Amino acid sequence: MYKKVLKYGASFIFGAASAKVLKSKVVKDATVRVIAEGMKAKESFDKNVDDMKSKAEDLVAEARVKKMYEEREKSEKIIKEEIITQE
Amino acid sequence: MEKLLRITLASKLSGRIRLNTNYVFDRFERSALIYKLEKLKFVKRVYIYKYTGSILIECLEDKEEEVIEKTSHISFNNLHETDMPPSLIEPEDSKEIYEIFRDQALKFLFFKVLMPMPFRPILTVIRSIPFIKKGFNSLINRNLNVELLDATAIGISIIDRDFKSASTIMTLLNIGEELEDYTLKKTRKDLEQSLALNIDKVWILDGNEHRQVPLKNIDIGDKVIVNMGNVIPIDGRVWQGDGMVNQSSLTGESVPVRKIEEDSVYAGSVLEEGSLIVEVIKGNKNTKLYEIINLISESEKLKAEEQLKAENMADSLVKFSFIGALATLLLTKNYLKAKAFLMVDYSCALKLTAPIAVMTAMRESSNNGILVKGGKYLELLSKADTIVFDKTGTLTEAKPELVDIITFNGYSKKEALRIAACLEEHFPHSVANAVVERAIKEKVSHRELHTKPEYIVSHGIASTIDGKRVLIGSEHFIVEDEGVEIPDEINRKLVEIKENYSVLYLSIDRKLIALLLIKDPVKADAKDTVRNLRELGIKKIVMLTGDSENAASSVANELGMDYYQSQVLPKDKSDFIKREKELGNITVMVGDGINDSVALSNADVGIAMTSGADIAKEIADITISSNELNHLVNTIMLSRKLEKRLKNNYRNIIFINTLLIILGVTQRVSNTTSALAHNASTVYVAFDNMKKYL
Repeated sequence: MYKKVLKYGASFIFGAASAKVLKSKVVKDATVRVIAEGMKAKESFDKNVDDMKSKAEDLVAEARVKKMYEEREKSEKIIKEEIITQE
Repeated sequence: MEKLLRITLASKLSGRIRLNTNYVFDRFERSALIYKLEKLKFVKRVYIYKYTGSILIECLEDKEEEVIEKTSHISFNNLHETDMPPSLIEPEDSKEIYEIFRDQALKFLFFKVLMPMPFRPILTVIRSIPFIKKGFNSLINRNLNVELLDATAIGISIIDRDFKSASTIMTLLNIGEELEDYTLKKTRKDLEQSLALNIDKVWILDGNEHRQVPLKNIDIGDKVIVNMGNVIPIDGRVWQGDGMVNQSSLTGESVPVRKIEEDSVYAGSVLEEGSLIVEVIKGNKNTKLYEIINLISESEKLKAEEQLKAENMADSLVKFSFIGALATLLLTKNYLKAKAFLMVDYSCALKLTAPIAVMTAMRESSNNGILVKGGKYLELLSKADTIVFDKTGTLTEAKPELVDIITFNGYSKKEALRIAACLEEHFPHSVANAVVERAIKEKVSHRELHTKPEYIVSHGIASTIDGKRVLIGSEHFIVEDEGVEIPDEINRKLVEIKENYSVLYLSIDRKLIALLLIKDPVKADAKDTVRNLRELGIKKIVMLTGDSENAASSVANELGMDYYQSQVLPKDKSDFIKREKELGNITVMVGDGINDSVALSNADVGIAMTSGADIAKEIADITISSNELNHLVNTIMLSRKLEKRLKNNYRNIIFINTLLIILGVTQRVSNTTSALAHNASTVYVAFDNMKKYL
């Protein structure tokens, strides 16, 4: 129980102190920078995900077209062979 | 956006083009650009990536070059100043799946990793406030619903100081809700898009070609073809043709007005007679389609019975969750076991999947050119046992053909055809067209031999050649009105002929010189359709027609109808349907004409074939915008699959969640695991319902 009171007390002090700290210019600048960096990181992450997504979709689409052509070729071949054998 | 936009072709495949840009479009620019691009010829669908500005264009196969060429003329500047309807602007809160997960993951990371330990409980409590609030609201309104269930589960966890599971539950609930929202919105949007592309179509004249395009792609200067009985879809000027237009929906004047070249016509007026080619002078912004879409997705009346049942059941099942939890608590005195009941509920899955299943079915139909105006109709269609067909235009092509000519008094077939075509070419009537077409086909040329022909309404045509009176028309006209005598032997022959054909009589100088045998051929797939319908278990297939007994019986026998009736009036058709319904049969009416409209509205499901009049389409519950009867069979199969899917959903959802409750109560899985499994299974079932049917 004592430990718990201490823990909450400590966090209260920590909170109050951090409010004071945030007011100082140095800390404020640093915080702004960190947040800005974070935003940048998020943006580039988003960009990468979109990029990966589009590349993956292109690959799948290309594979699909390839498959379609191969199947078409195959069936054309069979038809040709049939014509030849008929002749 | 004042900038140098660099566009590069990143990939080109059959029917698929990707353009990369160096610009990230905002929400408005994206919507405007999609609107612009989708209006281009051959373009089917456009997607723009949010973060890279990459543009994906789906188009018709082998038209990629043309689309790229057209795209290069599009201005990417001033996308904010666009004439697109505001309803097409992407909503502000629309999220991709990736974004849903990213946002929740960030939140989770923030709370779990960055937040100092002692703050977490406080923040968890703060986070729970909206959930608890919603729960309280339900309690005040005496609604025993999922929100109350969730609030109880979260509340108990917090009271128990199990902040970890409280926050996990909340994260799962949020992800689940957003994903469910996403699937629902996506299904709806796909449906809208598909309807806009596939249903609201018009014919335009492109060079010498007739081409069908979505109404939304019509531009100023396009030449739209309007046929008899149809609504003029746009404001414009008559470019070619002659017709009687009923403008009563605009002016209140019920007498049709004659419109010839250079006259103005207005969207919403009806072409009662003739045919027109209209040059578009005003872009159309909102089509009636959007009204229909709203009607379809909002109206309770149009919902499938099964869907309503799922929704009602969803709400009523919540109380059993509470009862179960309470009972478990009393019996086992273990609140963790009791909580297992609160982690899992049936309702969200039940409520979510039914509309998704129905909308997916409607979209699939629409992709085949079939507009279904509500889930209810698909459901009724799946149970149908009686199908009533109209004949002309539904089972037959409504495009009579001249099959044979029998000549007398030494005239040759060619001569008879020449005279007949010469007279008939002056009158736009389907039978007349049949004669003229045959003449063109046989390359029978003719000079104008006769004097000015006179048209005797619904009977025939009279004129003079070399001073002799020439008549062409019905038996009534030639024999009774004009007194042309027909020898007995021909009359005997005629009895047999009339069983299979309509007959046009041609006489010169009061002597019969030829009989023209005309037949309206049945559609190529009519026979297969009737057979397939029987295989699907339709018990009674009926044909009702206003046509003569002879024409009716020949078609009915050819197709193998169970029953037919000829020379019926519109009222007889609807009376027949009422009688069938009274017998307890679920009755489908398939028709196309204005004379079918009462029957269409009386039937359990009214289906209009689109070659027909717009009024029939308006009234019908399902319209098939193609002349192929086979679509009817496909729609019935689809409706049965939908029914099956709805029932399966039902079973799966109940099974999965009951299993989770059992596992939870017996403490084989923890509360958070069962919450995870519950939400994951719900989302899975929702996605699964977006799958194609046929």
